[in-house]
Amino acid sequence: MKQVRWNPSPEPERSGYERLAVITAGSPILDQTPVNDSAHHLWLGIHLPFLALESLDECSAQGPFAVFEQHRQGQQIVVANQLARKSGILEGMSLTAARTLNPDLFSLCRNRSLEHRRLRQLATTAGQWTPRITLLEDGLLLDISGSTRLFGGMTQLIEQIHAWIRTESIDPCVSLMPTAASALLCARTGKASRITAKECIPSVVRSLPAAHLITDAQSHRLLVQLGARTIGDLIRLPRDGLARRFGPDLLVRIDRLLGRLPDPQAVFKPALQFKKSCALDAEITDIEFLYPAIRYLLEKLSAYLSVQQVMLERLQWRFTGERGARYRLPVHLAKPRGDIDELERLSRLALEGLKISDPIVNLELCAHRFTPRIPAHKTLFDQTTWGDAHDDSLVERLQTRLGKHAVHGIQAQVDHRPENAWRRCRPGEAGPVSGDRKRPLWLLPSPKAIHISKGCLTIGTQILRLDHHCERICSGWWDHQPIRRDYYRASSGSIQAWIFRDLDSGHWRLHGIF
Amino acid sequence: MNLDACLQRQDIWRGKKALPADSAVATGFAALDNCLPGKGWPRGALTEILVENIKRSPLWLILPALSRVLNSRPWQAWIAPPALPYPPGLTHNGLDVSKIIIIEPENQADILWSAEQSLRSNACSAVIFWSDHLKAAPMRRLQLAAESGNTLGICFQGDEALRHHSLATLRIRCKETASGLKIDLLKCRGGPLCQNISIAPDSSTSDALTTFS
Repeated sequence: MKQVRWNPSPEPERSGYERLAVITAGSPILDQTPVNDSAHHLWLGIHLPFLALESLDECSAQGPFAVFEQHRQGQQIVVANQLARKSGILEGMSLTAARTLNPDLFSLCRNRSLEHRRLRQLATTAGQWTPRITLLEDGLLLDISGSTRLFGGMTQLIEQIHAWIRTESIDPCVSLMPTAASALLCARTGKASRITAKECIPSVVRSLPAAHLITDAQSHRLLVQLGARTIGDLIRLPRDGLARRFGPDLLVRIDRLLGRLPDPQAVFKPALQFKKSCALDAEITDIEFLYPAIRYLLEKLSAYLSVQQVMLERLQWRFTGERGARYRLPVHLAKPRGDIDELERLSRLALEGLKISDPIVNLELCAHRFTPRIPAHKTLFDQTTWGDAHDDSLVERLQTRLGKHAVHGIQAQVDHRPENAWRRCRPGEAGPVSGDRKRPLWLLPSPKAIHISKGCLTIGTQILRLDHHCERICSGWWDHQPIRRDYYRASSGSIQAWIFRDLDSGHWRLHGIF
Repeated sequence: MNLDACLQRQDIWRGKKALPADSAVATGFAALDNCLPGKGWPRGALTEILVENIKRSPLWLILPALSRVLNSRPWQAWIAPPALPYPPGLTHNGLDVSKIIIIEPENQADILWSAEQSLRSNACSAVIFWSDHLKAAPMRRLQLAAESGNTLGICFQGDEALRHHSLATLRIRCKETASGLKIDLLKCRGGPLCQNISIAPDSSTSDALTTFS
């Protein structure tokens, strides 16, 4: 194995040092040892010292600028920009002191939710290099062990990520370590190390202050009393004594730092969302001219879908008119889709109904409901006479043109009241099988009055003859729609009617036709 | 095109016996079946049923055929029904309502569009629609759509359509009588025009259908 070392570290030579290449930031990395061990992780810790500044919209301010945090003792500077630093303002300084140093200082209170949002944005972009990303308070942890080969080796990958984060943030510190805790520690302390072997971790972290592993003030004092200032000092101390004095937690932390214990990290799952807009060169009044732009946006969407390995459940077109009018046009999909041609066809169908009064200048495509992509199964011999594509695409087409409410299925519902014994449902949804009582094929939306003339029930000019059989339905007292009715079948000529007599009012009504 | 391919065409009439076996769906009423050329409603064609009152369309007349074809394709489209097709009544008659899609377009143009889409889609076992009088051009279009999708198309219309010429394969008129319906064949491609066929709701011979009354 080729061994290359830059800036040899002051640590003595050890057997585990073959895979070590400690470098200073910016110098070329020549060690490209491939990592085949599946349990072996490579963590890239990214620390963003100016995150609190960058997450605010005012970060592009030209003058001295600082972000402070409210403490019990007062307001304390969290981070200041370069101009502010020049006038002597440092982190941890009180805001009043900073203002004395530079009266022009522009300051804002820290906003942690904005910081978190900024980190989520960065993590979403970093998702192009690895799916295993952890959000920290002040940076990101990327497990790149699975992606090195894909991006042409570790060096290339780190260079790509480094180049990206430098455009996004000021003075980021990127450090590669075999454990998450050590990567985080090195990045936070500004050590841009590149270590791939666990055996080399102690040599790097040894010189770092022990305070990074111990947070509470009491233990901190004890540490000073013991005379242990660096992490190296802590590692050298007997383990049982350490556990007794500082609690077993510290041992766990040290073991995780050195890779002796597994250290699972919460994985960041980016929220799936696609939003892309397209400004049109000319104001468009004819829908035909929108089609190229629609195709363009759908192609972008298709690329997004294949990268994320998802399919689309619904999409929405948004149009902005020249005079500020806004149109929203949803496209409903009966089942998740990823094929761009079908999406384009449906979009065109939905557009047909659009009436434009204001010339369109901007077009936007939004999608935020996705499902994981299911690989298509195809049988060797096509046994059905209809294609899979026909199955739902008809419903989809109908719903897109006529509106979702205009296309539906029906199903029976378990209820004695005839009006409630059915309901609308999504097409294809199966309901309960209704009982064995005879019911009409048509139900009138609202029961129709039947008059009594000369002792006969008449509807229009026709006389109804009652069947002797009667069915009493009394139900629904619990949800304030009670009915008490006697239902009869009646016939008049060829018509078989389903009529009832309301037991409360005594009125006769026509309710259905057989 | 060879002779066999030629004879496969629906619009070539070869006399009563030569019709392909699956060219019709039995109506479930023996009296009616005997009068129709394929012994049933023609498949891949449009059937017009003219009724006195469109709001009281005799659903029982087509139910046996509908439940017979139901499982052959994923959907069955009912477009612009005049009242609510009542699921408990339909399931009681052996129809699986989960395959039915009810389409309620707002205007006549959308009714025709939905009917054409459904007929052509190859996904519907049958398409039933209720419509105002159909003009010749849309009727021809729907007839072609039914042919290309090989779908059973049934259109209920009011009596006033009688005054106009029909392009459908089969056109019948139903008259309500005391015992049921009296059916006249007004147009029947490939068969004689029988008159006064009496059928009653309970005379259905379909095994899927529980008898009425």
